[in-house]
Amino acid sequence: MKRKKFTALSLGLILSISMLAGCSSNKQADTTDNTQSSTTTQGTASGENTSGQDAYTVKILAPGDASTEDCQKVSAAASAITKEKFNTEIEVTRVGFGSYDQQVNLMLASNEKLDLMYQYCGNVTTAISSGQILPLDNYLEGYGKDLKEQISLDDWRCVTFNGNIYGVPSNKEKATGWGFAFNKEMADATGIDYTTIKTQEELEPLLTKVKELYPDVYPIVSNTGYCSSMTKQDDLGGDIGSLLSVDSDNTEVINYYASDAYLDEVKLRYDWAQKGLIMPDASTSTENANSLLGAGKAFGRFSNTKPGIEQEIAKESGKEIAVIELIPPYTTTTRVDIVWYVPHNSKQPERAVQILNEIYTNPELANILINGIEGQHYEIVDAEKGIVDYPEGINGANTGYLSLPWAWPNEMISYVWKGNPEDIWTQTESFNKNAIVSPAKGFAWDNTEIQSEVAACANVVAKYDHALMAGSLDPETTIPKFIAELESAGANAIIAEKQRQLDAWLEANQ
Amino acid sequence: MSKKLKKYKRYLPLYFMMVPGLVYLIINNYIPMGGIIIAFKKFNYAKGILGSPWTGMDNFEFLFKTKEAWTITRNTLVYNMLFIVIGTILAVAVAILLNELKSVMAKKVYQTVILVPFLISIVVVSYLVYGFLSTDTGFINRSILQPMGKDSVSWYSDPTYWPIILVIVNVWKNLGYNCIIYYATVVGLDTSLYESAAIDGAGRWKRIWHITLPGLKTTIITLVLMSVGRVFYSDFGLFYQVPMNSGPLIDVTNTIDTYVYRGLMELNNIGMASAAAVYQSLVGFILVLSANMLVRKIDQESALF
Repeated sequence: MKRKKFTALSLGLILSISMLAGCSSNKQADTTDNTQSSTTTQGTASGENTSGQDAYTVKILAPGDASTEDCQKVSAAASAITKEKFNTEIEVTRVGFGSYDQQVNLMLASNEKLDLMYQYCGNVTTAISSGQILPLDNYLEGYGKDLKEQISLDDWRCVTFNGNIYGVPSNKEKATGWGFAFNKEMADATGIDYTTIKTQEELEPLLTKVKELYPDVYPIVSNTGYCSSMTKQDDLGGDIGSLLSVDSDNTEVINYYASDAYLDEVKLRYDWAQKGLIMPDASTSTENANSLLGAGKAFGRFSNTKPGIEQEIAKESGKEIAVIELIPPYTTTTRVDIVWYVPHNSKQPERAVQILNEIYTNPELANILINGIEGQHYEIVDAEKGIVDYPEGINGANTGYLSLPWAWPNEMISYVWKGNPEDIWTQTESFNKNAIVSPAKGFAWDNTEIQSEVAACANVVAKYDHALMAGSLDPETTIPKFIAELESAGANAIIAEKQRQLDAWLEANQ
Repeated sequence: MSKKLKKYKRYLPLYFMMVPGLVYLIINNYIPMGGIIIAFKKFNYAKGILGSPWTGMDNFEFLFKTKEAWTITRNTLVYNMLFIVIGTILAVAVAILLNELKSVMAKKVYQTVILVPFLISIVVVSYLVYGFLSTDTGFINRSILQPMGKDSVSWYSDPTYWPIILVIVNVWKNLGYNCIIYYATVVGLDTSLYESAAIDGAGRWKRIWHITLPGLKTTIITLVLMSVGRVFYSDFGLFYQVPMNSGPLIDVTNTIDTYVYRGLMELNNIGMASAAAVYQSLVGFILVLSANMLVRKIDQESALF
């Protein structure tokens, strides 16, 4: 929100900080060659540690709200495990989502020590070409054996650029379906059997009936200005250029905004908006869809689907929620969406990978980092099934250490929070396994050479996409303008470059 | 010679007082100027600013890549010109009106009321505007247009009204601040001038026209010159938050700053961001110099330097 002096202020700040901090980072560039050194050259072990490594502190940056005090407690508890095993201490810092990107930017620019960081929401290829994150291949061999084994080759490919692995994909749901989530009570009141609905068009009778019964309720609302697209495209890592559908073998890169699938969808949305089935000002609303559902102002919203999605929306809105799946789950490179990186300011990247490996595989350590301290941040409700809940008097708003399982490397070895299906992790596993796999899954798009076009096209998309998806613009007149502007902004150059990279990738990975 | 030295000696304490401000300026405004070189580099964190490779003008390309280049330049310039002209006229008018008021109490109240919008965060302003313009619950649609039997307007998807809305919002927000500076000047004018004018039979209008306005001339020119230097910058909040980042309005709300923000939010390319900043400051610099030259030609006394 407050990034209004984006160009001037933050630059000046970053600049002056990085100038003052000086550049002691040249070392990092060549650490790739001497990865094995610390285990072999560090001789005798000191005291209780059994690893033979010298003492080191791994600093971890993760998102979500947490107080400094509670982070220290968690760090101490986590360090107790890693100290013994690896002579490594852990220092956890958490930053709220609102300022996460800025914080990361500052830390990277200022050369502040940082060893592991959660998904950096900026562009990965920019981060690589500007040297913000390190290649991990050499460290994974010696220090991340379990990671290497447990993560599938396909997933590794998604984080491989120029032949090097740059991140570790988190273990979570790695596919997505799309569907319509709605207030079950209202839907039941219509008397319509909604379980047979399979496509977006078939929703209309239900929506019309709801509008009739509840004239003050918006049948469809947007989530902070966006109505999700019920699409099967593979956007091939973002920017312009997609495969039309994940369930075909066709690997021709097209402009999805110029496709019939897009046109049909926005026509339907426009029609609905004209009939009053979509909330007015949907594309500019800053309201969270779930709070509108909770306030009883909304009947439903478009949403991604995954195991436990009903419970997730129900928990946030406080209403009973049903979800109709309109697009069955599929997986693409974009879906491997939470990745852990080792930034360039790590002093000993191999130790960072070693700890990441431990967090990924050791449930005890993972639980501490994800859920905090037992008795203070959570308590065990059912030890056998591994189900936890907030202790008395604590809730999501006042806990000192917010639990965000998906934001950590491996949520699937952690406790299940009450309210979720008990077998959510098994469900997630089969969800991943059964998802349709895009023929281009694993292709990692590198836009470094074509950033001017990408920036120009991003502006054009910002102008039309949200408004079209919310039905506020007439597709008949808008789409031709949209396509023409995209083309003049260089969309075709991006598509050609993407096709070239994809063809090369397909060739190499047949 | 020694006379000159003596003069310097006399002013020494004043120069001394200037030091903190000067240090601040150097640290905050001059040292970061070194960063201009980033605009011509492919910045690499590991290599540092000086170690990164040069790329020539590549970083500037995205600014001029599309037809948008014309739109954003036009929007930025025209809006700022409008803001300067309308803002200045109204601020001067209100300052004079304030001065004509007799009741001290009323003066204080008006001044505060006019200043309050300046102190409100632009995000809050955007919701105030939304309160007026929201399609189905907004004040204008609900309480004005509907009772009059007219159709609701969906303000956030119709670009025709936005040039006016933006000017109104901007003037409303900044009037109080500009007004204070002019008012301070008006208050500082020699009261004996007014008295003798009154004795000579000059009415209120004549006194304003012949005494107040000429007295304000230098202040007006200084403030206008300073804002001319910033005509290539736009108030990000005004053009991004107030229209609620609405796509259909982008043609009339896209300025250089919002374009850069939308284009680079995902890319996070420091080189391109600083290229935009360099471009803006360069144009601003040239404009200030030429505007000042023009003023100096017409009236040497009023020029900044």
